[in-house]
Amino acid sequence: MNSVKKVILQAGILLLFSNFLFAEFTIGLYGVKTSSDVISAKEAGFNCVQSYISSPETINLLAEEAEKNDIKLVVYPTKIMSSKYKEVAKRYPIKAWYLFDEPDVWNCSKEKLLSLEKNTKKMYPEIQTTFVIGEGFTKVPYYDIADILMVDWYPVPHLPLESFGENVALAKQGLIMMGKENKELWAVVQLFDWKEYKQYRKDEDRIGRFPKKEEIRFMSYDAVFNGATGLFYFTCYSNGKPLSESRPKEWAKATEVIQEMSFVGEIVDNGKKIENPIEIKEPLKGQSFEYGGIKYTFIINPTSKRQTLPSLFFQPQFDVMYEKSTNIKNIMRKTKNNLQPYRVLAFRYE
Amino acid sequence: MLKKILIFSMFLFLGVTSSIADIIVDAEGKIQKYPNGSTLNVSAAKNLYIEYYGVKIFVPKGEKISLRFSDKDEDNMIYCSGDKFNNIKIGDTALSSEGKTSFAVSQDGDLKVEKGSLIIKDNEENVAILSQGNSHKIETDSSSSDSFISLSESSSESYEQIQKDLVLSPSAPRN
Repeated sequence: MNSVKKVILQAGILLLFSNFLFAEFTIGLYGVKTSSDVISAKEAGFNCVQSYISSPETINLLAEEAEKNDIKLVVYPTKIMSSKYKEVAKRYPIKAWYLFDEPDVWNCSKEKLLSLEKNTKKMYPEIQTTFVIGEGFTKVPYYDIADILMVDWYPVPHLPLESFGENVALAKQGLIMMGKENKELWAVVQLFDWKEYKQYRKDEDRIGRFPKKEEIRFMSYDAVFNGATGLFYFTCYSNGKPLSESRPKEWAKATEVIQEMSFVGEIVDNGKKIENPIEIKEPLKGQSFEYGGIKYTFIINPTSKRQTLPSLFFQPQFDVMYEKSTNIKNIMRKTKNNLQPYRVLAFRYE
Repeated sequence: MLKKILIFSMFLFLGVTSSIADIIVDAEGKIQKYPNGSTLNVSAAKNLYIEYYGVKIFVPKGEKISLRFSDKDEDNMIYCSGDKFNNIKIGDTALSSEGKTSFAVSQDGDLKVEKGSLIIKDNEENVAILSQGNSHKIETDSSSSDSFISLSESSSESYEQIQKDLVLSPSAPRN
């Protein structure tokens, strides 16, 4: 067989088995309600959607649309299990059954959550389960329940942005403490304006704004740096309408982050972690990978102060990704070569 | 905190859906939206204590009832319907039915059967059967010490207002 045919055959085999060879980093969108939402999520780059709607009929419709669009679902199992759809649900594209939303916030006992998990697994032993906790450290150690742990924390604008990654780290520590260090951990990134939601503050004194693209980007990377193996974004709707209609500019910017994280997630999941090309000193954080013959270094400044970027990264072999320019000098000119608070830089080099 | 725990303990596994527009509360107790004038379909996965437009309603586990408040012509009536009620309580009065039944109750406790028939039993175990078109006066307040979740909404309230008594995520803004 000549060499060209060999290459084509190898590429074909790789493509055929790619789903099995490459892990898919979960990037999900919370709060979908309709088939249109599923389609929009897919177009934006998500590979998973969550819905709070527990009606079996609606979940069936969402599942049909998800199947058509090759996107996974995270939905409540309870009503489906006692409905006419309970058998067909075994074939739904479910990434995980959503057992409970913030059991720590609702004072759900561990026994109750375990019971939910047990009943769900009894009917659907092959399908994974998950639930989200409202902060990284929970007084009740839920960490050894379900196949996947999710953690949410929404700091914009009132809390330090790095508190999101800190809560992800706490959740990771909880998993390690309970002997579940290899369990998947999904971090839920804020994609909403707190003014639309009830607060501990009086209604007439609410604070909030929609997170900026740079903040969404930072939180996404910070979550991965602190152990997240998947990302979700809360939430699909704003003021009763999908983000694509209610906040089109913000949605477009968020979509850019989603597509970036989709590739970054692929690198993190399937690449080989390597040493940073140079020591990246705290408080900066950096991680490097080799994937497809190319090296990548991701650097974040998880502080509210400017930090100095190591001069090595100004060398010509380092291309900056996801910026208007690939030349770091152009990007950093205005900040005198300092990395701004909560800034992210993604480099590619050989 | 105690109030939150009490509310939570009543609220667990509440299944309530609206037949018109949006889901109001899903199985895990998350209020999505509550448009005024819509029918509230209550399906109690656990014993449920609801305060609905000033009327206290107890829905036992496994029971279902549809509720709709109407202030048309200032009558302020709650229209209830369902099939084979078993000891659903309005105030301290237990209501049961053999088949499909609909009735209306005012905030003052004037109850009238519109369709079907109702077996009513007060807290002194007095029993009466009300057939279609018949009325009876009942007490809409309850002597129960359980905490009733308010599912009423005035025209000026938004859904966020309803969440006033709900627990919030730890990262929610504070004073």
